[in-house]
Amino acid sequence: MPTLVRDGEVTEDEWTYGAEPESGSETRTILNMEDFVKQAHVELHGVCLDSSVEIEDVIDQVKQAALIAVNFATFADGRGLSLAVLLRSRYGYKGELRAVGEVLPDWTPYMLRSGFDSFELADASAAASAIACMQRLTDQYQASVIQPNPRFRRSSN
Amino acid sequence: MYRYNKFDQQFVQGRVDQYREQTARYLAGEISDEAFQQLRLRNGLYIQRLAPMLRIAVPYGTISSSQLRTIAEISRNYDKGYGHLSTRQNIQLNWPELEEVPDILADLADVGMHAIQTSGSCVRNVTTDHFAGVAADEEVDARPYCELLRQWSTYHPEFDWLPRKFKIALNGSGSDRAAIAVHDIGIEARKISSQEAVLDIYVGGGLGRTPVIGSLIREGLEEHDLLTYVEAILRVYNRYGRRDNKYKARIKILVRAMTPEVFREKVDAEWEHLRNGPGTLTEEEIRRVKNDFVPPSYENIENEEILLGEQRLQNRRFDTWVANNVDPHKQKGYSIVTLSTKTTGIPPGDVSDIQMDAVSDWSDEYGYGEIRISHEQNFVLPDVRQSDLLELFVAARKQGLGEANVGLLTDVICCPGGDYCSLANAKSIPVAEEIQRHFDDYDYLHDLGPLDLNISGCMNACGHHHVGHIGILGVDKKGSEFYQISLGGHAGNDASLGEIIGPSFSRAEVTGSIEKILDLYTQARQQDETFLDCYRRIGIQPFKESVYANSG
Repeated sequence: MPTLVRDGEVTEDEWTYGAEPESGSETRTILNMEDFVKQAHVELHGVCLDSSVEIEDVIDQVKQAALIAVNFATFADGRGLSLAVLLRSRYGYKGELRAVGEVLPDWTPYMLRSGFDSFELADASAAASAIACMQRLTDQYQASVIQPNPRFRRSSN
Repeated sequence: MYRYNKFDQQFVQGRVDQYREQTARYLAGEISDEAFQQLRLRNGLYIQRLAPMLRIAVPYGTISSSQLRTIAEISRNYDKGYGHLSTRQNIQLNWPELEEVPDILADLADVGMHAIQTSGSCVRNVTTDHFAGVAADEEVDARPYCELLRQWSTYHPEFDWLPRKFKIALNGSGSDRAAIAVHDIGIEARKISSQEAVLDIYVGGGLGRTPVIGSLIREGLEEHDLLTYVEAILRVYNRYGRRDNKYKARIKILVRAMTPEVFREKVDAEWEHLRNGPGTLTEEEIRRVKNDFVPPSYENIENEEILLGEQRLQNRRFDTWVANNVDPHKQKGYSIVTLSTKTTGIPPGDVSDIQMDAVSDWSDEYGYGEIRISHEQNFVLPDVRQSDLLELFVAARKQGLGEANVGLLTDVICCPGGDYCSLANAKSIPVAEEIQRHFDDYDYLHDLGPLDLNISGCMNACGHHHVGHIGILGVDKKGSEFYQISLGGHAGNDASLGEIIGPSFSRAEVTGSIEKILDLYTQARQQDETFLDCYRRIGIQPFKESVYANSG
């Protein structure tokens, strides 16, 4: 059972994956791109993107989504990080940005700094490990999505 | 050299703690082999044919005497008492225990060192001219840019999981000693006024299976734009570089597939969003880092032409050593000394703990406590008073570091090869040794003049065989070790890739073939023509005929 970490803690997941949202249901649904674009009120739904997506081509369709999930095909697929950076920094996406697929604890710090705010881990133990990983080495040289200024523009050393 | 501030120090220590904890979770079975492999690679740890290998970062080849002493000490405590100078200016230990690596990293962190990103698909150790800051022909000292790039690329949120490894080299001298044409990004720094420098950016060069000379994509970049422009390149590569085939994953393949023109357009479009943003270097930051590279307070002394002339007349070995191993310095009365590790019988680049201690002591005594490592796998002492040269030469000879062969045939660049590396098709070190043993006459070597002989044990090309004037590549032919010879490669200005001379040779035939190549050169050369110039004039055909003459 995947365990969701959001804002640094294990959280109940109100989202499910599905082909069609159930009408009148309280549960919110993450759809693939094809189903997502058919919805009348996209702002109520989530959409799942592959890390290889050409974001420039789909941004107009996905920017209203309540949640964007980015699927990491393998744990070392760094494309998802660039995708997140673009969504947050270039397109100003403010909704939930979720890392899904092969999400391993030691990779979550990179994801967090690239703009993801929720992470689907394999189980509770991986989730606990991810939370610990994200609390390490929190001061960095570079600017990132969660740190607008590089070290040299911050306080003197 | 760059001095760590409190933040730099805290950061490397934090990275050690992080890796220690990762190792513990791996040993407890909580991290898979596959995932841990990636985590250890980003801390320089390979699992090799015989044992793990730890690659310690020596940023742009600059190391202090106390840091080198620490590495000597580590090699005694955790290893077999020697280290290996690599072709990326780093130092490798060949026998550390996986369980002890966190302790080694902690010892390194205490002296401001680390093994971060010395392997893995990330931005690797940035390299530059090993004479940076002291070379008489230098226009711009590239070390501050190297350090700025080191900091920027360290544990980068977005670019630590690239399609493949990524190597950046900078050069700021008239003669390119950093081989910038064969790097993922090569940067040429040049002066446009007494105060201002600009950067020319090349991308998509590289060796390996598909050797390519890099393409110029931006001329005259202002220095404050360095990081944002490199960021734009990395983002394009991270998004579009191939991930389905590791042999096609380097940026050179992407640049070639897109064409350099289209690649540049993509980068420029990306850069438009980044330029003048927070990643832009501030004047204050550039000044802060440059301040760490101001020259030491040299003594006001004169060149020692008369003294050196007398000493050279009296000691022929010293004379040859000065001719080959000593280079002109910016500062009057000083010279740059290269200490060759290429002694016959010792694998190129291998140095003992005793040698490392000795080099550290000399750098304190005959300099300002700073040492360089060249990509030719030698030590460099950057600030030696000319009046001390003879004394240093005598001391270096006693330690087996006084070979007068820098830039000559026996100054072989060589990867660890089949003796150590699990990727190799063939051994490389014994081939180097056979050649060094055969060509042991200094007068002959000196007469041959500048000659780069580079040997790689497989097509990953760690021994840079493509850019050797003579290149040797180990290949596997039905389970036996064979060697392909190429001619005419060159790593400096007007870089070129070698051309394969013909069918490969058995190991027993290699030295004889090299001899035939050299014989042809000595017959064909005009006046002072170097091997490379001679080859470029007459082409490969005469060499081919000479080497394969009687092989029917």
